[in-house]
Amino acid sequence: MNRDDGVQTVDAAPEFPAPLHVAGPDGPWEPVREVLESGRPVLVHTTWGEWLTAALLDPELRLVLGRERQRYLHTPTPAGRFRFAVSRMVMRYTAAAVLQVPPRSLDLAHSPGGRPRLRGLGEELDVSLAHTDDLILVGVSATGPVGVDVEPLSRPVSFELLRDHVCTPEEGEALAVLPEAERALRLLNLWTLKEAYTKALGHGLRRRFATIAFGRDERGRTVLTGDEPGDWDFATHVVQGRYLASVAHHRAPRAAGAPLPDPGAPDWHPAPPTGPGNPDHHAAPSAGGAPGPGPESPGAR
Amino acid sequence: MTLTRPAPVAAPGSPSVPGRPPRAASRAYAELPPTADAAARALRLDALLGDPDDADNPYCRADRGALDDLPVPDGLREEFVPPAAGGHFTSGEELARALRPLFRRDLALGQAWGVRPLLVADDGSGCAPPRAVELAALLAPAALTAVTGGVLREAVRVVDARGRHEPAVRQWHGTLAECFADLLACESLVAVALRSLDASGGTAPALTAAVGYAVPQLVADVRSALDLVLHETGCGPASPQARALARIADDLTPAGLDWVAATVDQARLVRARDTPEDAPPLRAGSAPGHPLFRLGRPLGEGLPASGCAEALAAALPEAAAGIHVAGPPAQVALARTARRLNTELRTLRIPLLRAAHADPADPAVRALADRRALLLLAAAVLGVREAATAVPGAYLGAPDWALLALARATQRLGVPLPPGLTDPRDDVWAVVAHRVRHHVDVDVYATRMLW
Repeated sequence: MNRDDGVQTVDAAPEFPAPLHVAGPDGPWEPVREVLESGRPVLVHTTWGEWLTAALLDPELRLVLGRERQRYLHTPTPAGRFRFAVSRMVMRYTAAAVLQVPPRSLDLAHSPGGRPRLRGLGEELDVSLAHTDDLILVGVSATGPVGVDVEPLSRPVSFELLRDHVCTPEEGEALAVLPEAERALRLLNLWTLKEAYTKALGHGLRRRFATIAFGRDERGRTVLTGDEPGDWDFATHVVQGRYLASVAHHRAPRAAGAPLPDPGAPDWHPAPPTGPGNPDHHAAPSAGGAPGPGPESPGAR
Repeated sequence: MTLTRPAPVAAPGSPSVPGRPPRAASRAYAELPPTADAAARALRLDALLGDPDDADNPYCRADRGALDDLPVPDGLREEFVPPAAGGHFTSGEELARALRPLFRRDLALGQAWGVRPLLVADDGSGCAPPRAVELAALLAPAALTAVTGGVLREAVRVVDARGRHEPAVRQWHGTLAECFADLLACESLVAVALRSLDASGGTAPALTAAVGYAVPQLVADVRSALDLVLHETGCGPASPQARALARIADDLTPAGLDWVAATVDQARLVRARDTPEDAPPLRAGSAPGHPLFRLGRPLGEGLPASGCAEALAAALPEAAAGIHVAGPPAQVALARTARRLNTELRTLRIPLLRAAHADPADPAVRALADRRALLLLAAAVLGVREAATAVPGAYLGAPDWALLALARATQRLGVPLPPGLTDPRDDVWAVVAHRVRHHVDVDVYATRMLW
């Protein structure tokens, strides 16, 4: 992993570290955990191609997909299936890494509004997922809701068509006077920021982007303006030189009584996918010695 | 504080006896009426608390630091005192109904006057009803659903009014119908748990734990949806509606309704002994109409606590068996959804037995607790809905709200919905809009409100 692997910070609150590139299930995960332990949300980016072999060889893929396996099977194209499987793997492995538990012990659920959740973990660890083309971006936060969005820098965007849907009147006027290339980039940036924000709220695209106003504070950082609530941090990065990735984080005190694992506790890394030739693939213990979901349990489906 | 609307009187033509309204007035008070005395006391409390829209009313939007200075309405303390000691307390369910006007106003006020007295009384310094601590643990979620229902009514009022002239606003009918169904599901669970406290031989711990764990989470979903609807209909963060919503969020931790409190109940959910396996063998027909589910009616003497576990364990399979019975589309859809959830319940039994002695911090065990809570919620929904079919004209007996609530529980469980289900949201919206127009609360009893 390389913190500077193709990541260029466009705009970020100092609380936000740059997205971390994780090339596969075997990490390394220590930097991811370190960011979470510092009280900040962490972003992990990768491409589904990097994880594909591991996903295909993972004998526990069925368990990792859990209840989303039916959706996986009904995804029409092979590329869509692979992206779906890998995105869920990345989300689950990232959460498992910071919790120091086996990925299969986590049950990925969704609210009726579609927001991903780690079942039973409530407000202790929030997750968000975005993917486009071959890029997968996962946000994980132990300090309040997080939302992420990513778009290709090369995506054609029509200011004329999108202005009224994406921009407030003030934002539209500010963009209208810019040169076309810069205007397109700014518009894309606004789009990713607003989608990241509405995903963190759990509202997604049901919330009209044109009613959400962004501006700059006295230090030049992106902030919500108008009567939107405060306590939000935003950041935008160029990832892998080709994608614009934004993150929104609502600062909230970490839930008392729900600490992240003690850094001094015995470490656990998500097990790398193993094939039949590797007899160690059952070696990872369930946290606390408790029985994990067995093959007959719903979590194993 | 001024009273801008007179207190209700007995139904026209009925004999009027001060302090004791006739039965007809009680029926007019709610579709599932309490005793006439209880209805009169609740109405009196509502009147004493004054008009919630009166800006000068100290009981509305009270400063958190000034709560202790507010006068406690006359008669409120007697609600917690058993009749033998000169009070009115007869059951947890009736107490919750008597306090509902208070709970509707403000979560902090409800906590201060409706929940905390039980904890103080249990310390020996007061006259406590039985199981005061357990009762307090259930009244706090009851207060949460009541105050959230107030914001739902406001959102319905806004959408209903604007939707008459702006078709785009009608897109939120379905979202508000879902909020209504979720709140009815939460209230069903709370009411059943309150009734279980009256069973002899101890409480049903999984049921009470499910209330503490599931209700705040479902209400959080409702609050998020209300925030969205309010924002999209022009009620920004500075509006009274949005401020009321924000105030609920601020009051969660002091009221013991935040996530930290929920984790305590989450651990209890897995360890609770009243698992379906602990219940006596299922007897055909044991769930429908079981006294536990007959909201608003006395539970009856001598019902053992094991009867509660049995009734809950039977509710899903009994409802699933209804798939073979012909009926309107929503009722058939309800049975099909119940069958899906019954399958889920079966898959949970062995993992629950294994998890009883596992580390409650294990995420897999915590996920199991989450699923158990949702299935108990579904069982409560099906139980109260079925029992309410015996009450003529009671909306609680209609299948549409239960279908919507179950569909959302199914989604939360990650279980695929049966294909081709009828969509009940238009029908549920019609009911919630009608209630708001006619000053009827969004509760399980369909209680008429004074204000």
